[in-house]
Order: sequence, then structure tokens, then C-alpha cells
Amino acid sequence: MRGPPQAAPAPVPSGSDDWDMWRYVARRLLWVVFVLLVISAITYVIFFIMPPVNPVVLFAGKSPTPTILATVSHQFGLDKPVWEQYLLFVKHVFLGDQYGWPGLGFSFQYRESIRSLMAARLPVTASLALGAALVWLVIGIPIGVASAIKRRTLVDRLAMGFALFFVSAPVFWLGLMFLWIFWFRLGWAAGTGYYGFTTNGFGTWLNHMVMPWVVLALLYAAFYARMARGNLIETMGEDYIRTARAKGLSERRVIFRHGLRSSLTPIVTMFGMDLGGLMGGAIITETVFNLQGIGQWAYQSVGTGDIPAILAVTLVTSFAITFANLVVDIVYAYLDPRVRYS
Amino acid sequence: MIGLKRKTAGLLGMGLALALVAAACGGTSPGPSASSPTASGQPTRGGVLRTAISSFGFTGGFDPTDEYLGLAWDFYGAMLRNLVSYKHIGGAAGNALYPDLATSMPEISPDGLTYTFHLKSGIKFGPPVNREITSQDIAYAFERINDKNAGAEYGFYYDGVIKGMTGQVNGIKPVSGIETPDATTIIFHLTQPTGDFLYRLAMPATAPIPVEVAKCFPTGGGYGRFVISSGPYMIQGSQDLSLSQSCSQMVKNPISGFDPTKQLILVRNPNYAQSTDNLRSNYVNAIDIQVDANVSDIFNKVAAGTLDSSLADPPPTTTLTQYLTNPSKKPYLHSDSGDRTWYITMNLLTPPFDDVHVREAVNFIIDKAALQQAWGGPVFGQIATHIMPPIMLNNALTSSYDPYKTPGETGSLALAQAQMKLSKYDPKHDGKCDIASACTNIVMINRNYAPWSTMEPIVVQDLAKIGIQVVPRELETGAAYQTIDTTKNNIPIALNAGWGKDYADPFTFAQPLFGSAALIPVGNTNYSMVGVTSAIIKKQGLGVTIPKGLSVPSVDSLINQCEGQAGATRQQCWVNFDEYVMTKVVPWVPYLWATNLTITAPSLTKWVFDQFSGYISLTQVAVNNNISVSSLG
Amino acid sequence: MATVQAPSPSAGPADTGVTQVAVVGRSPWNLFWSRFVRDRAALAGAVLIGELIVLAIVAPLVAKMVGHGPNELFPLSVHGGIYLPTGPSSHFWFGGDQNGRDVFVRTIYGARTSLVVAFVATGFAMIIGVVLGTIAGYFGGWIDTIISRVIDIVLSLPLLLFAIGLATVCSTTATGCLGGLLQPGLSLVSGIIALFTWPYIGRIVRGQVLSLREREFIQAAHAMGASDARIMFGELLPNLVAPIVVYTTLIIPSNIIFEASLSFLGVGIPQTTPSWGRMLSDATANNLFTYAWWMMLFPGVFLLLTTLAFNLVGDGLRDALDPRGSRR
Repeated sequence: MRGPPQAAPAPVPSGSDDWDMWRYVARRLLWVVFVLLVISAITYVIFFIMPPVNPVVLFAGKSPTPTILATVSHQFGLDKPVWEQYLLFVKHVFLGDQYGWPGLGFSFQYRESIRSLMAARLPVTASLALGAALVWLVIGIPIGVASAIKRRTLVDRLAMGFALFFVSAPVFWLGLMFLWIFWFRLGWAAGTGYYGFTTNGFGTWLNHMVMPWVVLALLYAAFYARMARGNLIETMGEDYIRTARAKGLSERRVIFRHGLRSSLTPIVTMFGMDLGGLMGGAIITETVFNLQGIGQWAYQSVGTGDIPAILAVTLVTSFAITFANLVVDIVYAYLDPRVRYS
Repeated sequence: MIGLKRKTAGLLGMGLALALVAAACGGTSPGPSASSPTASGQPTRGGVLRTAISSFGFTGGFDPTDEYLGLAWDFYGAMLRNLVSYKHIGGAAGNALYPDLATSMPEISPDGLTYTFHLKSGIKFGPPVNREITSQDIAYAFERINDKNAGAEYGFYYDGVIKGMTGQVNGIKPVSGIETPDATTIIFHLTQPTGDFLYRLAMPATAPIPVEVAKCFPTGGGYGRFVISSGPYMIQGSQDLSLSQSCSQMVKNPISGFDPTKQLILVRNPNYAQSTDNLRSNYVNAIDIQVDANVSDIFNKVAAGTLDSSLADPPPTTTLTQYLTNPSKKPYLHSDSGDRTWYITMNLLTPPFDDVHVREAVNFIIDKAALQQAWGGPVFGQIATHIMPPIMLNNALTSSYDPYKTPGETGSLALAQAQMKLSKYDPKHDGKCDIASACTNIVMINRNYAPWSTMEPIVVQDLAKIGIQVVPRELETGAAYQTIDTTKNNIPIALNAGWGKDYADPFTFAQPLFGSAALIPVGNTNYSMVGVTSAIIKKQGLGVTIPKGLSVPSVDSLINQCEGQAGATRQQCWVNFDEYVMTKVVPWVPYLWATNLTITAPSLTKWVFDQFSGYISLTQVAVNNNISVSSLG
Repeated sequence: MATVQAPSPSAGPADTGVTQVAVVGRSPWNLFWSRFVRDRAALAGAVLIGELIVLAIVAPLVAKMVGHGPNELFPLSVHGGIYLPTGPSSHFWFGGDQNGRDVFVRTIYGARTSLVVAFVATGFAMIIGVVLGTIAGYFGGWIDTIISRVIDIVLSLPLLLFAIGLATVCSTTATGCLGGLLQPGLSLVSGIIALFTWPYIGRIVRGQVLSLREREFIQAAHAMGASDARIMFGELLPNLVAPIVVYTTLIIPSNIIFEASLSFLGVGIPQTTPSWGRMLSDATANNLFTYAWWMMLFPGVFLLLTTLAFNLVGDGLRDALDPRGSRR
């Protein structure tokens, strides 16, 4: 969906509209819960019923005996029927477990609560996602806007060439190239790894985050540039823009006061979902730059059979995506009265 | 001990310019460095040993009863004392046992079934326990091993060996075969003569455990963050652990110096008396082990001198090149025997490897020199010519024993074909595996990262020369092991396997790798299925069948025979065992006896390798870095 | 996950302009085609794809020409006893890899892997997406609800993580997955990619069908008593060819990157089958790329050119379908 073509005047919801909206929100929230249940069930099927790596064998020593396997299986709660494990998991998510709410269990590998492990990884992923988001907005949208305004000029062509290039470039290759050029050959940027700013200082943190930000952001920036351009061009063809022009407003004013506002609305939608998705970690970027974030944790957990960690990351990511979706839809519905709460 | 080293996930961070100096002539390996001062002068006491690891990777949460990771044993070497122990030095001397908590080596009854120890007096647990260690504390460690809830991962070294130990007991119960007539005497009664029993008493799981703390952790792994010291070092912050709190409170407040995702900081145990210990030197005031997932960053820091040593991560080949080509850096690279054999395993039940001649042909055709190069070169290890790393047999069987010798260890087509011609899979007698159903489309399991992935094309190409067409399948370390240790998968050949010793006795290779007792449906370590019988298949539910007319060789009686002996006869028995397996059973192509590589900084003034754990000896190295303990934490 | 997949399909195909089909009028396909062939950038992309296809087909000839195959091993260079790849030379134009194999020949062969994924995996995704999307849009009601919700759910899964999990699951048994249908390697990877990307097509097709469903010619077909299957696949589908082609093309580059990402992480194609993603992964082991830059540069450039070509064609097709939202 491309969103409303004209600047959306904020509707004044009447009493019944208001009620409709709340019903709508409630239903959507239920949907989010349902999706999360389904997704966690799918995760269970893949990782518990037919585990890629059996954690019991992995954590029972290198030449296990059946007794030890049984003990470890019991410790991990894997000796119960799968449906019972799943119900227990759902119960813990809703009601909390010994480590608090929401109960996400404990890690087989670290024998520690998933929540605290996740809390330790979250700053890395948040640094990456938020920083990259800022970069791609700052790069992508101006390029898209400039390109739309200077349509069919050299600026436009260069801008769209840029967008096409980075839409096509695989992130891991881009990451390696950046490392090779800016770190290894030129020595401008610091190498890989995450250095928290509380322990290592702001400068070190920044120095190590710049390249991951840029590499991750370029892909998104390219998409946003293309989208911003397309939307703005379309909006500028709308009647009310012509009217505004006819009224003698300066072109600058027309673009920035009227055109941009409505053409950027769909980008807000995208932005919410992209950011939501990134909170689940960017496995590739985190791998290339060795950032021990949520994504890499989940990826490694597949290898070590640390199923509760996989489950938790899946759940959190899916929650972030569906919830961002919901928020965006509500904001949309609120902004645009034509969207029915149906 | 477990050698599951995960893919060193990330890349770089080497701030050094990778100046590849004109290639020095290849093959110069760094000198043997089991114990050599890297700087002149006497080692000094003091300072902090600063090191880092990409990930601890504990298998049992660092609980000594469970933990099966060699690296953890390295740490325990500084924290725990056993009845008998090692000097924590390198080479064959590092495998010798001495009394540690015991006043002397035990009195052993003439039938070899009773071991009596007397404890030194005045040895105390570290804070907050602060009381004298008694024989009951050692017996308690065994009671924990015997408790099925604890999940002691190498309990099989004691179950069925000490009277009354089965590993199946529910809860902490006295073990009938362990007597503690008084606080300083402990007597073990065995069910059968066990020549390596003393080695088993030097394992961390048998070190004394104070019941005051451990009682709160009835299930496996939990005690790992509360380990109470009996040795020279303790976890920083141990003194702040309150013994008056309830168990439910205690489990929430682990000792501050250890976080399995971040760090382990060891400081001197104030209750430790050096006078009671003539095995450890304990030069450093503290040991600071940080988790740094960025392997290259670790080596950068060592190069920059902000770390004194690397720990367990192998250096990237690009880093190694700098140390090997630069004479001034070379002394800081230490290459020591890891007592680990890397091997290609073949399944005795699956065609074409169910024919011993095919397995012999494979041994002749594999270019072991190329495999060594795939690892990086000779610095990563010596080409293996048989099962046991030479130090394990006290150098009684070295690489001069080479039943599948080929020129330059590069493989020999002629020798391989000669063997193949004897096989039933070569009816044409052309030296190639001819029967398509048996010789093509053979699944070969491998790991999905270097150096294993680098070996893969070599092995594929070599096997093709004798008509064996394999289909490689690449998996993460754990998944690869799981695929071959699930017997019903019946994987014909695998490239991913390696085995390291638990202690310096060949039993730790023989029993799990070739004994029929190791055969279980999931978690099997006898990948080649040596000694499998229809009865075992049925009893254990292995889900495989023995091809018609095949008699699977067994080495169970040989293992039992060796295990019942001690001293020189035992050693010779294992030599014969190794030769028998290599020539009569032929389950493997052993190709590398791996070294463990450590890089140190000039601030590490005395380098010592701990042969038992396979890593830096925390109690024997010295640093000169003027770092104070108060700066830690 | 989002690094690889999410943005491209959500920003790409979701950005539709679908209603324009109606405006086009009498011979939509002709108009569509004539617009496309005027787009020089898109044509350049098409030519590039054609060249890649030819290159993939003649790869054995290339191997013959240079005198060795993609898996042939050559000596490494020795630095202080460490064995490292050899650099580009007149013999090895793109240098050698960690096994001493020719990066040039492997790069050419790598085109085969990428193109198989491009066409086979995307083809399967398209078939599933078209069938389910048409059914959902045509029948509406609870069928639509179920299919749409399934699409929503698949799209909110962390795809890469699940793909890694499934790839591992199917590789740890002796037979593979689905009773041996999905053997580890290319077929498994293609299957997984199809499984996770059909919803993008399904969603588009559903939207298109929804808008076409109420049109006169469909109503007429109904009135004449045509069966549902006939209407769906005889009347509706021919009108959807253009958008399906467009959005399938737009998914191809992200599927190619999907495969490369899986191989990069080591859960895709085994070492002995040349794949650009796997070659890049080899370049990262031991930080080899800091020394053997050729191991990273050449497969990466080919990968980039391939996705670029498909993107150019995809953009061109989309603009031809919807000239108003176009780039010019």
C-alpha cells in the first residue's frame, strides 16, 4: 500500500469513531498475541521436535552414558511431552517464571536466565539498529527528495545509480569491502567488535560502530531514497499541489510544506517495521563486524542447540515486527479517516 | 576433554599491518617451548596475568562435578587441589602424578583393589568456608558424582570401578566403597584392578567440595558460579558469599568475580599455605580472564601488550605468519602438544568401508601432508601415523611407527590400489572401487569452516582416485558431531572428528572410541562401530544392521587386558593395542596430532604449558606488568 | 535478518501501483513490452543476464580453455611455514583460494549456483504464491482470511534464523528432508528459499485478483456458468501475467542474496560446489581476505553484477507496467 496521496488532515474522531478505534486496537492486539503463539509453536516444531542440534547430547559431555543423557534431559525439561513443554513455555511467558516476567527460561549453554543474557546483548543490537536507522534516514531521504526535485537531471541519475548499486550489493560483501578498504588499507576506521560506551568511552564505541552503521544503513538508505523519490513525484502530481502552486506559493514552500509531508507518511510505516525487524538483530552485519548482538546470539544458539535462546529471539523479533505493524496501522488509521476500522 | 571449539565467528581487529615479509623457507617450526623463559632473569612474584577467550563454552556450567571442558580444567588447576595432582608443566613430565592433598602416594593393597590415602593437615577451604578440608569433603565429591541428578559427565571413570558407585543413585548417599575412618584418612575399594585409577583421582570432579555451599545445588551445573577454592586461587569476591542465607537466596547471588558470559577473575586464596604445596609456584597475584568474542582483537591486544597471553583460541594463520617470519617475534609463539588426534573415521558397517582392504586403501591414498597444509602448516601439528599422540605413550610409540607410510606422507596411488585390488569392491582388479551401489554417492560429514572445509576438496579428490565418490555435507561443529554420533544415521565416513585425552592414559582414547560399551543410539563416540554385535544392536536399539557375512572386529578384550595392568607392562600393552587397531581394525585415517598454539606478550616473563589441561599453566607462569589486583573487577 | 531480506520485498513489491493495469486498455501486454524495450538501462540488465546465462552454460568450456576445473588443487604459497593462497597471475587471473583452486574458474561456475537459485527457487515461490494468492483473492471469505494470515505470519518470522535452522535439520539425518526430496545442498537451499519467499508473490497476486474480481469480464464469465477453476486460471491469470513477471523478477535478486547469505554462514552449499557466497565465506576464514583480497573481490563483484542486472530488469519491467510511478 502506498498510503494516502494527500496531506492528511487529522480527523476529529466522533464518539462512535473513537469506540470503533478502540475495538479495532483491541482486536489487533489479540491478533499480535495469536501470531506470537503461532510463531512460537512453529519454533517449537522446528527446534524442539526435530532439533538441528540436540542440546542434551551437547551438554552431557563428550562420551555420555544413557544415565547422564536422561539427567540432562530432565534438567532441561526436555523429558516432558512436547505439548506439555510448549504449554509450560506459554504459561511462563504470560505469568513469568523463577527469573521474573516474561518468563523466557534459562540458557542451556550459560545456565543463566535468558532475560539477563538478552539484556546483555540488547545494547549491542540497539546501538546497531538505532544508529543505522539514523544514518539511513539522513542519507536516504534527502537523496530521494533531491532526486525527485531535480528529476531527469544528472543529480537524479547519480542518486538513482547510488540507490540501485546499494540495493543490489550484498551486505556481507559490502562489509568485507569496507573493512578491507577503510580499516585494513587506509586505517581510517577501527576494526570489528563491540565496545560498550560505558566501559570503553564514547569515542571508542563510536569508532567501532561507524562502519557497521554505514554498511547496514546503505541498503536501507537505497530503498528509502527510491521510495521517497517515487512518492514525492507522485504527490507532486496531485491536484492539491497544483492548487497550491496556482495560489502562487513558492516551489520550495509547495514541496516542503505540502509535498513532503504526505509523501513521507508511507516511509514512516516502513521505518517502523524495519526498525522492529532489526531489533531482532541483523545476523549478517553482526557476524561480519563481530558484534555480539541478538542476531548473532540466536545464530550461535542454533549451533549449540540452545533452544530457549532461539525461542526467545524469535519471539522478541516477531513481537517487534507485529507490534510495529500494529502501531503503524493505528497511527495510519488515526491520520487517515478513509481507513476503516474494519 | 571436550574440544568443541566453535567457529571463531568473527573477523579481525588486527591493528597490525600484515606485512608479509618475503617468505622464509617453509617448515621451520618454533622451538619446543614446554617451559622456557621468554625473557632473561628470574620470574618475579606479583602482577596480574591478563588473558582473554572468545567464549568459555563450558559443558557443565563450570561445576567441577560435571564440567568436561579442558579449558575449565586449566582454571581448576589453580583453584582446586586433589589427593594427587600434576605439577602443571609441559611435556611428558607434566603427566607425572605427585601427592597434593595427600601426604604421600597411596598404600595400594597387593591385589590392587584398595587405595589408602592420608591427608595433610592445615589445608583449608577458601572463604567463606574457611575450615579445614577433611576426608569427608572428598567423599562428598564422589557422592555427588554418584548422584544421578548431578549429571557428572565423566562419572563413568568411577561407576563400576569404585564399589557402590553406579551413577544411578538418587540424591547424596554414602558410597559403600569409600571409607573415611577419620578426618585425615580416606580408603577406596575397587571392584577390579584399575591401572590408571590415580589419574582418575587427579580429575577436578574428585577435588573436595564443601557441603555447606554445594548442598544448595543438587542438580548439575549450578555450583559452577559458587566454586569454593581449595587451592592457591579463588574466584574474586568469594569472601562476600554469605553462608547464613537460605539456599533459595544463595542461588540468586553468585560470586561476583565470575560471569560465564563476561569474565573469570581469580585472586589469591588467603587460606592457602604455600608450605603445604610443592607442585605449584603461584607467581601471579591474580588471573584476569575476559571473554572477548573477537579473536583477532585478542591477538591484537597480546601484540600491543595489553594482554599477557592468549588462552585457548588458535591464532588466525594471517597472524601466525607474522610471528613465524619475524625472528624477534618468534619466541612469543608457543606450540605445545595438545594430546589430540584428528582423524577421518570410517564406518565398519557401511559399504565400501565394511571391507578392511578398502579402509587400508583409504589410509594409503590420503595426502596427509596436504591436510596438514590445509590447517596452515606444521606449526599446527605433527602428521599422525597412528592413534595415540606420542606423549600419551611416553614416547614409546612415535611417528616412526607408520604402518601406512607413503613418500612425504603425500599418499600413494600404487599402494592404495594394491590394497583396493584385494577388496571385494574391485571385481575388475583395476585398483578402483567398481561397484557403483557401494562406491558412489557416499555421504561424508564435515564441519562448515576452516580448516575442515579446506581439507574437504583434498579428501574428495584423493578418494576419487580409488573410485570412491563421496558427497560432502557441511555442518556446524555440534550438528556435525550429532549427525555421526546418532547410530541410526549410519554415516559411512566423516571428516569432522577429533579426540583429546582426558588424562595421560590411552584408556581415555581406547574405551570411548573403540569399546563396545560406548555404543549407544545417540551420543555414541565409537563412530566406526568397532565391536558391534547383533546383541548390542538389539539391546541398545542402535537401529543399524550388520551386513551379511561380515564379522566386525572387537577390541574389548584388549582394552580390558591393558586396563588391568600397571606400569611398564601397561604401557607396552597400549602400544600393542594401538598397532592392532591400526593394522587389524583400521577404523580411521589419523592425520594430525594437533598442537595448542599460544601467543604471549613480553610482559609474560615465564612461559609454562600445562600438559594436563592443554593450556597455559596458570600456577607456573610469571608476569612483569605491575598491574595491581585492586584494578580488577 | 532484515539485513538480507526484509527491506527489499517490503519496499519493492509492496510498492505497487497495481490499479494501473486497468488504465492500460486494449492490449496491455504489447504496451508493456514496447515500453520495456525503450528502457535502455533495463535492456542493459537483460543483456547482462543473458551473458551470465551463457557464461554459466559454457563454464566447462572456460575450464577447458584455462586447462583446469573448479575443484582442481594447486600448490599454495608458503610464508614462514604457513600455507596461504597465491595471488592473481597470468595463469590464475583471479588468483587462487585456500586450496589452491582457481578463483576465476570457480567464479564462473558460481554463476550456475546463483542462476539455479534465481530461476528454480524463485520459480517455485512464484507457483506457490500465484496459486495461493489467486485462491485467496478469488474466493475471499475464510479462505482468504486463512491464506492472508499465513502470509502475515510467514512474513513476521525471522527468516534467516529459520532458514538456518531448517537447513541444519535437513542435513543432520542421513536422508535429508521430505523423504529425501530435499537433499542437503542446492535443492535444500532452493526449497527453503521458496518456502520463505512465496508470500511476497502471494500477497501481490491476491491484491490484483481482488481488484479484477469485480470487473465485467469476470462477472460475465460467472454469468455464463464458467467453473471457478476456469475463471481463476483461464480468465484471471492471463491478465496477471505482467505483474507476476514484474514482481517475480524483483524477488530474484533478493533470493540470490538469500542463497549467498546462507552459504556465507556455512549452511548453504558445500565447499566443493562453487558458490559466490561460500567463496566469500572462505575469504573470511583466518582473516584471509586481508591478505588474499582477490578471494573477496571477484566473487563479490560477480554477485553484485548479477543482482544489479536483475534489479535493472525488474525496475524496467515495473516501470513498463506502471509508467506513472516511474523513474523517468
